[in-house]
Amino acid sequence: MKLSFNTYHKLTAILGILLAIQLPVLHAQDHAIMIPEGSFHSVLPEIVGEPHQVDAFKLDETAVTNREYLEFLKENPEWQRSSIPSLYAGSDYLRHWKDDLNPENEESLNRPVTRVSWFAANAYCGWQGGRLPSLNEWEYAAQAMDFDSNLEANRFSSNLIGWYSAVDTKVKSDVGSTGIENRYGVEDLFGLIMEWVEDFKPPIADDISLDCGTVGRMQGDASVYSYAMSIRYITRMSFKPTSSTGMLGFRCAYDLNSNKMEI
Amino acid sequence: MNLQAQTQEYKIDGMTFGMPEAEVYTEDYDGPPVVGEYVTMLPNLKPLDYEGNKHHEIRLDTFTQEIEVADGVRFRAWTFGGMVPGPVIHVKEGDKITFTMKNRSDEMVTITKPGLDASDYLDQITENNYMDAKPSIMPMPHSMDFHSGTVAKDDKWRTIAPGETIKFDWVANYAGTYIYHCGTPSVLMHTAMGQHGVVVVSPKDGYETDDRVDEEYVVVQSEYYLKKGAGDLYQYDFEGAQTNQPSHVVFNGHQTILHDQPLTANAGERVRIHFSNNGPSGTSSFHVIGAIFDRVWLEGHPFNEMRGMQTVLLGASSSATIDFIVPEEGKYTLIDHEFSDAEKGATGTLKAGPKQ
Repeated sequence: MKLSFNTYHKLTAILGILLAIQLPVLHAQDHAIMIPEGSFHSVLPEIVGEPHQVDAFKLDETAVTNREYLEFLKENPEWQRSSIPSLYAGSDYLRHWKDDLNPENEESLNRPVTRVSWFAANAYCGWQGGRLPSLNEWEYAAQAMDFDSNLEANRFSSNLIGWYSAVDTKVKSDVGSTGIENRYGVEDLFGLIMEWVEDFKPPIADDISLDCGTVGRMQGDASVYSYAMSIRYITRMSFKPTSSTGMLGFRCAYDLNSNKMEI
Repeated sequence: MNLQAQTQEYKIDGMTFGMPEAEVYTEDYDGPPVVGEYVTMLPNLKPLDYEGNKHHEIRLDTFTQEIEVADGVRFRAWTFGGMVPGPVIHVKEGDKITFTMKNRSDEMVTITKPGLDASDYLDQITENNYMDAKPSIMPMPHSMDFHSGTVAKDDKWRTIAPGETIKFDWVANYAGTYIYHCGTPSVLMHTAMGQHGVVVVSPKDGYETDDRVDEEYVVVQSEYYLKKGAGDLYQYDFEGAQTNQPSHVVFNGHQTILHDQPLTANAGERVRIHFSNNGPSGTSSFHVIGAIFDRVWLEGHPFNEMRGMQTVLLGASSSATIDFIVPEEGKYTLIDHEFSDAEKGATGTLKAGPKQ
């Protein structure tokens, strides 16, 4: 059936708008990977014999990129660098971007966005119909790694500690570039950036009181793996919600049955 | 922060305890990273030229710097003030210090800008940048622990995120040479990465030989655990640190600096060295080849006087104030007589001129 010229264009416009609204959510769901339910041991105190339980959820395949964050900023100008209230971010927020809507350069579009505060990360994930992963969800996904042997696991952890002490934030890399994937295909949980989680400073952090001796108390087993983990926990627990650094970015999580459209 | 109400100030035996709660805040400070009237670069110690006690305002910011620690060995270190070990702070027993530190590990901080003029340290390093320090960024949480201060560690030595500043008071209640270091776990890593230095607290009534001392220096021993990284730079060797196998053991942060720039004196003079073993893990059997220590005050306290020692054994974070007489014109070698340390660099030179 042939439509009149005007109707055709109106329909296209309407469809276009509907599609555009759907697009961010579709994009998110496309690149979000299902992490099945399970349990894991963390370096925070836990009840003996009862590891942390995590329900199934979806996690972004890669960290949020500059390109993706730029889209968010275009649609949510109140989160742009020159408008964002100091309540939500310090003066280092996106300080490496050329200006409000101009990331460093063309090459940086596929790199993880950094220098974003916890508030900003939350807002982005909400815009995508999701949320920040919880600390347990993130760590559970990070621990779902398959190593061929204990030796390999130790070598991996040693390298990780090396990365924590030598990362050069001037050397920028695209998402996916570490080649590190967890069992389910989630990329770069190590070796690219540190990532925000919803509860980066769990209540128990106050009792632990980050100072000398904390690492000793944190190691569940005396393995290199849990040593590396404790460095990560300690670094995260030192942040404030307005913190931002050149090596801190994020990715989003989604509840399993979330099909929300964010308008 | 789960703090009890801080204790009100009180005195015991003439010493002051009970400092106000530390303040942690965010400010866009981008001024000189080292501020203080008696703050110098190793091995220099600035003489205290005041009577009685003084209230010092001191700032040591913490940030990353790429430095040379041995010929051909550079790494991106975590520092206080831009060098490893950090600046020497000189105060008198009984002085109060208001200390400020910004965590600038996410900023490029240049320490060799001329005219920063906030401490002798910055002038000295601009003139003599022997570690060839260059700014670098590696954002990490950090903290400060002054062994010379007596305070609640969960308050004053607390960890701050990049961009934050901490400010607190402490009183130098005891004389001696005390390590300061980052207390953020893993302390082994943070100290090995370079965050340590010393405060020299001179006794209020001095040492017995004060009017006979001709030269006074500060020497700090420490270890590095480094391995080659991906590019030209070295990086932290976690396994080496865990198993106590340093790659370098050095005086004043650099394997050859005390040979390239020897300490100096003349025959017949009395030399005083404030020597600290900052570790993080090793011990030091400090000896000066050709000399015997006339006086040794363990930990730098005048009460702890030993005489006629050939070698002083110091554990990690131990120190001694040492006087010796330079017998003849010639060369003397400062050394950690544990030779596996000496051969990794724990040696230095004192060059003596003729008797004046």
